[in-house]
Amino acid sequence: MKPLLQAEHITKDYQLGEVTVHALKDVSFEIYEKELIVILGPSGSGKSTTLNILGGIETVTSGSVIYGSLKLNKADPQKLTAYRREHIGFIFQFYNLLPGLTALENIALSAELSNHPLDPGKLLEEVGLADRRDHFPNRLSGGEQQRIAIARALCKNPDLLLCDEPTGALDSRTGVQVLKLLEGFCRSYEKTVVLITHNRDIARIADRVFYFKDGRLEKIETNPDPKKPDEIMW
Amino acid sequence: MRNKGAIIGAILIIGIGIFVFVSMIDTLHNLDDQISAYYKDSGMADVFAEVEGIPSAELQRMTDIPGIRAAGGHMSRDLRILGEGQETIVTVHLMSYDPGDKINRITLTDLSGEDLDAGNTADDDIFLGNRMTGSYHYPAGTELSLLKDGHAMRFFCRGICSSPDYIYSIPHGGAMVPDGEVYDIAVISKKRMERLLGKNDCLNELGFLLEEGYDYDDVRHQLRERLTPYGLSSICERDDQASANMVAGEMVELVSTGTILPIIFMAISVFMLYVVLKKMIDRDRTLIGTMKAFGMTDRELLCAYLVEGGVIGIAGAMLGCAAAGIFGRVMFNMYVDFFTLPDPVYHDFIVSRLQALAISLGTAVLAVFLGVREILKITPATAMRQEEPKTGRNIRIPERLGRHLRMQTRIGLRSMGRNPFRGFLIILAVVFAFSMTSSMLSFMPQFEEVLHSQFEQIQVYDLQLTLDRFVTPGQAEDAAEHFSCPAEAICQTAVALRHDNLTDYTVLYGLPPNSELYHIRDNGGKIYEPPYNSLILNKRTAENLHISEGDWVELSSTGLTNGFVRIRVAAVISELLGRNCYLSLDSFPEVLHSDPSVNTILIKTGAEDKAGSLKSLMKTSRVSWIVDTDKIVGAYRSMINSMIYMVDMFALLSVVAGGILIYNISMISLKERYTEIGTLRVLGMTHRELGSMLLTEKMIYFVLGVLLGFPASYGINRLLEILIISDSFDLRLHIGRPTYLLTILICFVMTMCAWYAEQRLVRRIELTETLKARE
Repeated sequence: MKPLLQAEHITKDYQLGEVTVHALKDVSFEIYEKELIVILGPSGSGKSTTLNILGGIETVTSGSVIYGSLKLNKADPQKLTAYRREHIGFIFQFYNLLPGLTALENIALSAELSNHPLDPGKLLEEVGLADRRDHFPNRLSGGEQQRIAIARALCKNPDLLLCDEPTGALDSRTGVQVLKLLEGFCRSYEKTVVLITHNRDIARIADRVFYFKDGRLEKIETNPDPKKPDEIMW
Repeated sequence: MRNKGAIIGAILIIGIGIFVFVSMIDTLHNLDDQISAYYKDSGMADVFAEVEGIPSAELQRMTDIPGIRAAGGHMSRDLRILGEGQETIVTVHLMSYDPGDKINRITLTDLSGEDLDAGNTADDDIFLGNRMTGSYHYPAGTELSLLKDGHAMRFFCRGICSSPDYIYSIPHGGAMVPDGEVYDIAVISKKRMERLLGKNDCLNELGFLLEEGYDYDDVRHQLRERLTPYGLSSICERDDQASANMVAGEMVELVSTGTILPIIFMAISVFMLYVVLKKMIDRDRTLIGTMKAFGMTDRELLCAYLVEGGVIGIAGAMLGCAAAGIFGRVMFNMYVDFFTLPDPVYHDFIVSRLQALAISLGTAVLAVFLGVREILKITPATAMRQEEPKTGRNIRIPERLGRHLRMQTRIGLRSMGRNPFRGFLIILAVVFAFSMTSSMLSFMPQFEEVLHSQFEQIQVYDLQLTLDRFVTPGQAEDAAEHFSCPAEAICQTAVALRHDNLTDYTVLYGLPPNSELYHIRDNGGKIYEPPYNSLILNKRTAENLHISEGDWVELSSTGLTNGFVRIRVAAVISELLGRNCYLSLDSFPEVLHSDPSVNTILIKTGAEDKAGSLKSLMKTSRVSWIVDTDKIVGAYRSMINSMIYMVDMFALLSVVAGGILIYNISMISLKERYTEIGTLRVLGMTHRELGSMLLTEKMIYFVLGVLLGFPASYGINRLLEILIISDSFDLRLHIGRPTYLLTILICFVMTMCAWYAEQRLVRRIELTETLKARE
């Protein structure tokens, strides 16, 4: 498989007052097209930092991150914005829908930002919320909001979908629904999905699992038989 | 320090409010205290009268009248004075000085301001008013001559004089603004005055002190009756005395502006402080929850925030008080320029500062209390959880319109709808800056309009020569022929008008028909011919006398009428300046039962010939004084410039306060939207697109603010017109298109600056942090 993105010897240090926090220590990996990757690790292990670096909203202290011909570690803010706009879809733990836009408008916003978007109305149907198209986020349940957030992320037709604890704020039944959407997107649209979680059960749906601990990528496990979201429970 | 910008903004805003409050109140107190003290110390009379002449002993008999405690008077006369450096006719209102005077006591000082006692003055000493001394800077011992009936009498400048009834000294028919170059008071000894006038013990300017419990109405009938045999020409209470009236008018204006402007500024300060502190406390919600969980009581938490609010309040009060000390002195000096007080000293009043501190602290404490009480009600666990997003109302954009709007515009519109309070605050800031600034800036065009109307459409002459006596129009015309330029003879004299029990004093203009140099013109631009057999009356005088068109009024004037004559009021007109009455010269025999008499010649010299005319007039002895229109306009402009300094200061303060409000509220609002903005950036929205979204919002607020600013400006102007009431002018503030355009431009620049600051803040947003929070 062709690597979509390569991270080589990346480190990330934060300065907190007089203390330097080493969030990532010499991490290297490759992410391939059409893969579903789960990043697993306890709090403070460096998984969110990694996701943010992959998404171009965080810069590395050293090392390189290469997406196609673009070196993220050398790109200026404009290039990083363009990278996020054209290639990256984000899904957040707290959905981050724009409160002033309806369900459909939140999805359509992504379409306006993308050069090759998918149909917002169709996506709304796919996430099962066609009847909520004119509802504002504050009138939707948590699960419904996350499904809208997924549709928004997918609408850009991104090459890489980055999900930061997408089920973290949901009950298990709604969480499964969300994972089904993500897995379905990966398989049917043949896109790459990177998903952060601290829930080991969710890792069973991944093609590969990255294990992070204390800022290091401890190991990468390939899952020979990824499960369907319906098949897992937590 | 959290929210550094917002706190500094709150301190500045409250500082501006306190600054306006303290500087106005202190100026008012300083003037009021010193004028009152001067009136008291110098025995300022309660009742004033002018007669042709009365001996001192006869005058003292007036104390027989029940209610009259004491009586006193001066000999006085308007005379020309000659000295070095004069380029025009200079007139003094010469008064006699008697060390035994108890009423309207004249103060004499040497040129350095040291008091002189009576024993220290010589017979040929002359003391000039403060303003004339300042205009000519004559050294002690300078020879000055007084001209009477063509004869010059020599005096030597000794020092400065001041009199409580001439704090504000202006000649009849001249500018409403004192001008020491051409007119002021002067004092010589009584003995010398008697020789100069050729009259012995003949007092003509009288003053009376009343017993406690008596007022003017209790004594005026008897006084009038007793003084009539001595040629009574006018009698009035202190409030109507020319100088006291002008001073009181100025004080009323100062009280009005000193009340309304601080109220507006303080109200906006209170509101701003509340908003800033409330938002600050809202952001501390989690911290409050944690502290409560640790066992901190509500009272302890409240105290902690009260201290913070208190520090802001104290800092604002200190800043405002410090600046007020400087500006108060400037304002006080400006008023002292117009009022002649013997020893004006500016004091910083501790009371006003304590009041300011109390207002400031009270405001801060109230704002903290209102801000913190909601949060204190919730449990520690709830407080520590992130706040649920507010469920505001979303704007439904019609589909047809929505299709044409960009997503940024829709986000902007919806954001405004979801949190209308944010928008309301910014709109309020624009309304405040717009209305206050446009109102303040409308003063200057109003003054220009008054000057244009008065000196280009009403008084169209260049020079006004006041003769030392009444002459026939024929004699005056013969004299005017000397100038070989258009000239007209008119009568301009002080008259008393009486209607029912009301009396008012004004100036009568007896004008020739079809006068070309003096037009009777109302505020609407209508020109009136001087009426035959009837009177045109100024609206302010008519209101004082409760007269309307068609009523009859009684008129009396020394040297012109023999007692009161009845005359019908043909019209009541509104004029911007002055409060005169008008009558045709031709009707003098029929109405006033006197021959047509004139005492004033108006000349249209043109700019080139004026200097020559003035030079030739220096040689004449029959002209008491000259009023040079350009000089009057100059004096008005000089007064206006001083006032405009103050008005501009308020305009600037409004702009600064408005700017701080717009900036601060924009920043606070944007910080509340960190997550929303961060999400948009993560989704790939460029800075340009975000800027365009924020600009859309800002422009909508700006347009709404300006639209609401129009009625607000109108309201403030009407309020100022009601509050600034004057007997001598009509305040008709209207805001012209250039002022509106300038104000719109100022508000636009402020809005754009706030937008620019927002964009800078957007660039600094930490995306990783914002994504952790819930909108």
